[in-house]
Amino acid sequence: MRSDGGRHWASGAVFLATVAFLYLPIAVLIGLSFNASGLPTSWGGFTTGWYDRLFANDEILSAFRNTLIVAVCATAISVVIGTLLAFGLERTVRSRVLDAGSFVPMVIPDIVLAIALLSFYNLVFTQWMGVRLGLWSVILGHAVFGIAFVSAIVRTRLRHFDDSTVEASLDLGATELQTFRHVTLPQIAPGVIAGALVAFTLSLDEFVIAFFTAGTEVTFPIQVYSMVRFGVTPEINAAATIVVGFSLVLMLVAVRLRGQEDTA
Amino acid sequence: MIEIDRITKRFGAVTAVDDVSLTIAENEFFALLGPSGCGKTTLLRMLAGFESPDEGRLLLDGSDLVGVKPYRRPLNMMFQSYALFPHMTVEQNVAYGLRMEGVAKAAARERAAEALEQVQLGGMGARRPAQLSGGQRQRVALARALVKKPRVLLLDEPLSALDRQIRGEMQIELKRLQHQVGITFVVVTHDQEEAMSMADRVAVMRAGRVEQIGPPDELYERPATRFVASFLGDANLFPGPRPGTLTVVRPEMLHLDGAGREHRHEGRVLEVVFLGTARKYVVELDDGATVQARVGAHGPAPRLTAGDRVTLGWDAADAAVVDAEEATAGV
Amino acid sequence: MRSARQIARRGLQLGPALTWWTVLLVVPVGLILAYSLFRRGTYGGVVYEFTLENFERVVDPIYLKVLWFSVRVALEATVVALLVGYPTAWFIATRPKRWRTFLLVLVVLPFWTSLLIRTYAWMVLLNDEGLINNTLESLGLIGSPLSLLYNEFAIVLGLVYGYLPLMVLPLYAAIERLGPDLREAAQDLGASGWRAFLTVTLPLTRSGVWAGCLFVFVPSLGNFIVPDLLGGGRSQMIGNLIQVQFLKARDWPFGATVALAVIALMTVVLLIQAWMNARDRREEVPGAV
Repeated sequence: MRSDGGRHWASGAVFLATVAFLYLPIAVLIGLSFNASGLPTSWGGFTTGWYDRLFANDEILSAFRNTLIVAVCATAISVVIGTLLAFGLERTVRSRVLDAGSFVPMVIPDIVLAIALLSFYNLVFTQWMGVRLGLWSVILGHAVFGIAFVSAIVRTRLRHFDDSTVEASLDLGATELQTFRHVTLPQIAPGVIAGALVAFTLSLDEFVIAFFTAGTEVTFPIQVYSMVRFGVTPEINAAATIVVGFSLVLMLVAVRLRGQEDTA
Repeated sequence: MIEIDRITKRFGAVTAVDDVSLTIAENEFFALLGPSGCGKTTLLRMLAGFESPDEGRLLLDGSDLVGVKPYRRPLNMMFQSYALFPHMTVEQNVAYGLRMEGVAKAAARERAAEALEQVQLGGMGARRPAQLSGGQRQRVALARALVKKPRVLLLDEPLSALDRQIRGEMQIELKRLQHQVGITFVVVTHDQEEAMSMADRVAVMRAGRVEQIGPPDELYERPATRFVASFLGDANLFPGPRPGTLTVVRPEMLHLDGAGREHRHEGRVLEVVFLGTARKYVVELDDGATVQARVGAHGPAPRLTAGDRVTLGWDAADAAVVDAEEATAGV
Repeated sequence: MRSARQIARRGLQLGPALTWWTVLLVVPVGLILAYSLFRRGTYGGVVYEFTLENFERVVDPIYLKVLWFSVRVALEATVVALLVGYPTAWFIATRPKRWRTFLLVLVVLPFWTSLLIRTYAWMVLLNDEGLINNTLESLGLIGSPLSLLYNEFAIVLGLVYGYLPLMVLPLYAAIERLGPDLREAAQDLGASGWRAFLTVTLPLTRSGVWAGCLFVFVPSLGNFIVPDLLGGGRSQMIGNLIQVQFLKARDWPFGATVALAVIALMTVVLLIQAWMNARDRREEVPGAV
C-alpha cells in the first residue's frame, strides 16, 4: 500500500491519541471503583469493597431495578412496533416523507422531547385523568426513539432479504406460518436482536427524558445524577463501572450480529 | 396434462394475460417465450399459485388448480434468483420440502444427498449457498425442487443469471435432466435461442396473448405472424402475395445465385460480415430496401465484396406469409 | 386496485408506529409550540391567554447571550471534533480491510455507554484535586492547580468527548467510499500531499463532513448534562435554561419558547444539510462512487 507520506504518520498519532482520550475516563472510573481510598488523588490499595457496599445500598439497587424494568418494557415495545414499521417502510410503502420522518426521533434533542412529553403528560394524564407520572411515562418516552432505532436497523437487514425465499418456501410445501418460522424469522432475527440491544442500551443510559418524566420514581441515571450533584459516595464508581461494562458487552454482541449479515 | 383454459389476469388497468388457452403434454419440455412484459412470467406464477387468475381455469390432469394454495400443488418452481435459504446448508435447503411434507429427518437427508448427486453436486451438502458459484446455486435450486418428485417443474428464466459459457452447458444439462427425471418442464425465457435449443414445443407470447405454439423448427420456418418471424431470428420482409400481407424469407433462404430462383431481387452489396460459421451479406436492393443473406462459410462462397452487384433469389416453398401488422422494428 | 388484504397489511405495519409517534411526539411538540403563545399562571401551569410576551422576552439580551453562548460552544465543539475526527477517520479508512471494522468499533463503542457517567468521569479528572492536576503537580509541571473545570473549556471538552464518535462515523464512510485510487490519483496530480488533500480529497468527502458536523452540532446545542455537570452555575446553555424554566421557575410557556429556538436552529441546520445533499447528488460524476 502506498503510504500517504508524512500525513500517514500524523493520522496514526492522532488516532492513538483519540483512542486514549476516549477510553481514559472509562479506565479512570474502573480504577476508582477498585481504589480503597475512594479518591482519585491517592491509591489506597485494591479492594472490591465498594462493590459490596453498592449491593447493600438499597437506594441504588432499587434505582437499578427500575432502570431495568423501564429498559425491558421500552425495548419490548420498540422491537414489536419497530420491526413492523421496518417491514412497512421497506416493503409495503415507498415514501420519502415517511423515511425522513422516521429519522426525526433519532435526531431530536432529548431536552426538547423531554419537555414536550412532560407538558403532554401533565395536561392529559395529571390534570385531566389524575394519573401520576412514574416508570410508565418514562417507558412511553423511551419507546419513541427506540422504535426509530429498531426500525432503522431491521430495515438494513431487510434490504438483504430475498423475497423469493418466502415464495420458494410456500412452493416447497410450507404454510404461511411455517414459512415465517423457518424462513423469514431466521433471516431477520440478527437484525431484530441487534436493534433490541441498541434500544435496550439507549434506554438503560438515558437520563434527560427520565429526569423530566419519571415523577417521583428514580431510575439509575437519575440516581447517579443526584449523587454527582449533591454528594458523591464512591459506590457510584462501582455502579458506573458495572453499567459501562454492561453497555460495552451488549454493544459488542450487537456489532457481532450486524457483522454476520455481511456473510449472508 | 396441463390445460390452461381461457386464463385472464389484470393488474389494475393493465391486462397482463389476455384470454390465453393452451395445453402442455406429459413429459414435455415446454417453453413460454416472449419479450419482457408479455405475460409469460405471470402465467407461470399462476401455475405455481402465487397469482390468481381473474378468469379461466388451470387444469392439471383434469382438476382445477385455481384457488389451491402453492403448498398444496404438485408443481414446484425454480426461481430466477434461485431463492436458496441463506441461513441453511445446501443439504438443509434441498431437504426443506421433504421436511415440510413430514418426512423423517434421516430419510430426508438421504434423499437430499441423492438429489445432489443427480445434479452433480454430491458431497457439497455441508456448504452454505454463499460459498457456491452461480451455476452451483442453480443446481441446488433444481435439486431442491426435484427431490419432491413434482408432476411438473416450472423454471423462471433459469439461465439468465449465468455467463455465456456456462449457459450453453446448462442448456444441455437441463435437457438431459428432463429426460432422466421424466417429468414435464415448463420454462419461461426471453431468449429465443434458449427456447429453441431446449424445448419440444414453444409458445410465443406478446402483450398477454399467445401468437403461435409449435415445435421450434415449425415456428422458425413457418411463423404465423410478423412478430413471431422477427422475434425468432433475422427476417427479410417482402411484400406478400395479397394486399396487407408480407412474405418472410430467412437469410439462409435468400440465395446469392438468384438467377435460377422463382423470385429475384437486384441490389448492391453494402457489407460482408464473417461470422465464423457463416458469412452475412448486407445488401441494398434497387427498390431501396435493405436485406440480409446468409451463407454457410464452408460452402462454395462467391467472392463478393462491398460495392459488387448481386442478384438475390428465393423460392416460395422456403418462405412464409404473414399479415402486415403495424411495424415494430423489422430487419 | 388495492385489495382489502393489502390495506390491512399496510395498517398493521405502519399503524402502531405512526400512532405512537403522533400521540407521543407530534402532539407533545405541537403542544409546547402552542405553549409559547400563552402565559404562565401565578402558581405555575399555563394560562390560555394568547400573548407574544414570551417572544419579546426571549430576545432580551440576557437570553440572547445564553443562546449565543450555546451556539458558540456547539460550534467550538463541532470544529474540534472535526479536527480530531478527520485524521482519525482517515487513519481507519486507510488500514487493510480486515482491520477497519475492529478499529471503527473501538472508536465508536464508548459512545454507547452513558453520557452522564462519562461526563462524571471527566469531573473526576478535571477538578482541582483531580487526576490531571494531581499528575501535573506531582511531575512538577505546575505549581498550583489549573482551573480545568466549571468553565467553557470543560464544556467543550465534554461535548467533544461525548459526540466525537458520531463525527468519525460519517467521515469514515465518506473517506472509505473514495477508495484508494482517488486518493492516490489526487497525489499523482497534486504537488504535495497537503495540496492534494485540500483540493481533491476534502471536497469529495464534503457530505461526510457535513453529516458529522450535524451529528455533533445538534446534540451539543441542546445539551443539558454536559453544561450542567462541567459548566458549573455560571456557564448556562439553552438546555440548562429550558430545564430551569420547566422545573424551577415553572414558567412552561417561556421554557417552550426557548425550546422553540432550539427547534428552529435545528431545522435550519437540517435544511442546510438537505440542500447540501441535493447539491452533492447533482454534482455526482458517474463512475466516481
